[in-house]
Amino acid sequence: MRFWQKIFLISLTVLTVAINIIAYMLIGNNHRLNREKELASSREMYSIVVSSFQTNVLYERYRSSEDPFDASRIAQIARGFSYQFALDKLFIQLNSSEGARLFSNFDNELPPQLLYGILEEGGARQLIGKDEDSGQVYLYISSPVVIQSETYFFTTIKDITSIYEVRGEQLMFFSVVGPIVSVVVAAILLFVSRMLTSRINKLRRSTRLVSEGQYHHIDIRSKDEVGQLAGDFNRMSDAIQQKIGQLESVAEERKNFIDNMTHEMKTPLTSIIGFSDLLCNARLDEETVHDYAESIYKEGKYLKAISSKLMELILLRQPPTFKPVEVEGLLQEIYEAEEPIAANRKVRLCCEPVGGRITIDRELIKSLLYNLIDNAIKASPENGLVTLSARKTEDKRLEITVSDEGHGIPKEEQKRIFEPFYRVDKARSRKSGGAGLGLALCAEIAKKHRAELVIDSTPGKGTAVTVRFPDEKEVTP
Amino acid sequence: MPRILVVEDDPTISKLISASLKISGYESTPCFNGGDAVHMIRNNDFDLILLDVMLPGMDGFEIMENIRRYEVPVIFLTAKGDVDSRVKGLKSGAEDYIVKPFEPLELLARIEIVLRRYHRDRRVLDFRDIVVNMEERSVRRGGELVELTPKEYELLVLFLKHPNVALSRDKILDDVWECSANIETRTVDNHVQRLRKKLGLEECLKTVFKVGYRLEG
Repeated sequence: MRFWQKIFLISLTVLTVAINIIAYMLIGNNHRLNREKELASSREMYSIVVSSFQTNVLYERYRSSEDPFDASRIAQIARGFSYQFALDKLFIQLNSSEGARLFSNFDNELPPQLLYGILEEGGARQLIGKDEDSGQVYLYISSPVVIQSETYFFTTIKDITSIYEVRGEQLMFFSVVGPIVSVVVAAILLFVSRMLTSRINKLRRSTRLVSEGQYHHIDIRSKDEVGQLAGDFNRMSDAIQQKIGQLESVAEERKNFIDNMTHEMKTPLTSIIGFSDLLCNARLDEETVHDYAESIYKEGKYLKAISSKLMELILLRQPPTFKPVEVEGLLQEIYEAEEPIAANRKVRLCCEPVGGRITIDRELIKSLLYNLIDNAIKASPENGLVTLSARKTEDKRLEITVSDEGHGIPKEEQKRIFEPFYRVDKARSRKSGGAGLGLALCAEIAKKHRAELVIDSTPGKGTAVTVRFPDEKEVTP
Repeated sequence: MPRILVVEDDPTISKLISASLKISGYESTPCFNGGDAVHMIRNNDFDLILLDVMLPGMDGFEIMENIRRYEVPVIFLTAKGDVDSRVKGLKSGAEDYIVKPFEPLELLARIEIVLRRYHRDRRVLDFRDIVVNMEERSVRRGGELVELTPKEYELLVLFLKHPNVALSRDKILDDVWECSANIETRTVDNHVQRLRKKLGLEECLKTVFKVGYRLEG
């Protein structure tokens, strides 16, 4: 069952039941009050009638002193007396103490229990009875009355059908009005529940669209819960879209990396397989054999360089261990390790350290600086100068710069040099055994230290790469 | 002698391809970047182009666009082996698509197929005093016609196309008999014996221990 149907049916049922209960209670209560009022007034009436009758009898007794003043005489008086109440639909019956009917202007028999029943408080019996034939309802009040030292049963019969008729009319009225009201209420409820759930349906459609990958905003501008839900939904939609975008760009980056890596690995592999195939199968002179073997050797070395750099990149995934390190000692150590490599290439290396400590992962930063210096040496001409220097900036941040007097990097290439396998000069880089991963590695390490890598390069004049560490307090994780 | 342009920016691979082509009797010209390639194709009459996709200057697909009107057959030679790249390569009008790493023999076989399709393959093969005219399907030794069975003829052509390269018995069975399942490698030995005798190749057609045979000269 749909939500709007539930709301509609439940509210309609509850409302209908409630209206019916209230109506019946009201009608019932009204009827009870009417009846009690009638009862009270009838009783009052009864005592007035009785005392008036007694007075009448007394008066007749004195007016005519005939004897005997017996029961038939009293019945005669009662007849005369009864006329004055005919208009009020009040009937009178007089019975002897034995129960014999002396006078009555009431057509029906009295209910038997009226005369022989137990006397109620106040000495009167009262009874409400319904005449099955005519459908009239009567209120009987009866009590023994002493007249001329004889006891009689004096009964008044009041027609109270109108009270019951009023109740019947009210019930009839309600049975007509009740359904009409119900229909109107149902229509209103239907409208309201559809209106409430239409926005939920709107939300549902939007949710389905989002699950199909169409991120968008719902336009529900109310301040109630549904409006708030729509707001939350929009925020969620945004958040998912943003996350998906991030994931996609990460996946794209990965794919590019894998593509590049396969290319980088396949090129040397092709040479190795091809030349070794030629060496095995072709008849070659000695010089060619040597040439081919050397190619295989070089390509093998190149593969090794790639794999070791890849290894470093993989090891970078482990969390770094930050410790305070003396800057001067660190730079000195790097200088000593790189100096022979530089000398081998006929490049001068100089070191300009600065005092102080910094919290870093020593091995990672060493790897970063080694890579930068290797690049600088490879870029340098013979007798060129490579400088490894450190300084403190005005805002107390440490900067380490590796600069060279090499061929420089063109402006448009500077953005891309941190991409894995990107090379400014492919032929030259391959010849010097570069894997194309050094700067990508540097960028990763810098990121782990929240340090910036700043490149300042002029083609033909040289390059300076600066590692700008964050404020000391920020480094500590 | 068919002329082949090798457009490949990696010098080692370029050297490898040139060496393989030279052994099989093709004349190869190396080219190391995209811009030069278009220029060279415009000014020379090449029979085939081996084209790398990732090149400095202009990539392989762009070069394809620029040289289509010269109607020179192109074989792509690339490290990108995914289906999309292959489809893109073949759709751009290339005759074939070879994924690195490749083996020289495979490369040569594919080159031969493409050249044959374009009727630019060698119609006449020669070795010392032996001349094979593939159009006439005739073999002459010192001008004298030599009678060969169809299989002997195909075997001779295979050796002449790959001089100085060791050919395994399996490779020979694959190429000459086309299905190696039913025929034993001894069949190859017998045919080689007969070739040697008929054409006086006892010295040149050498047995390579545990591999097969090599035509040396």
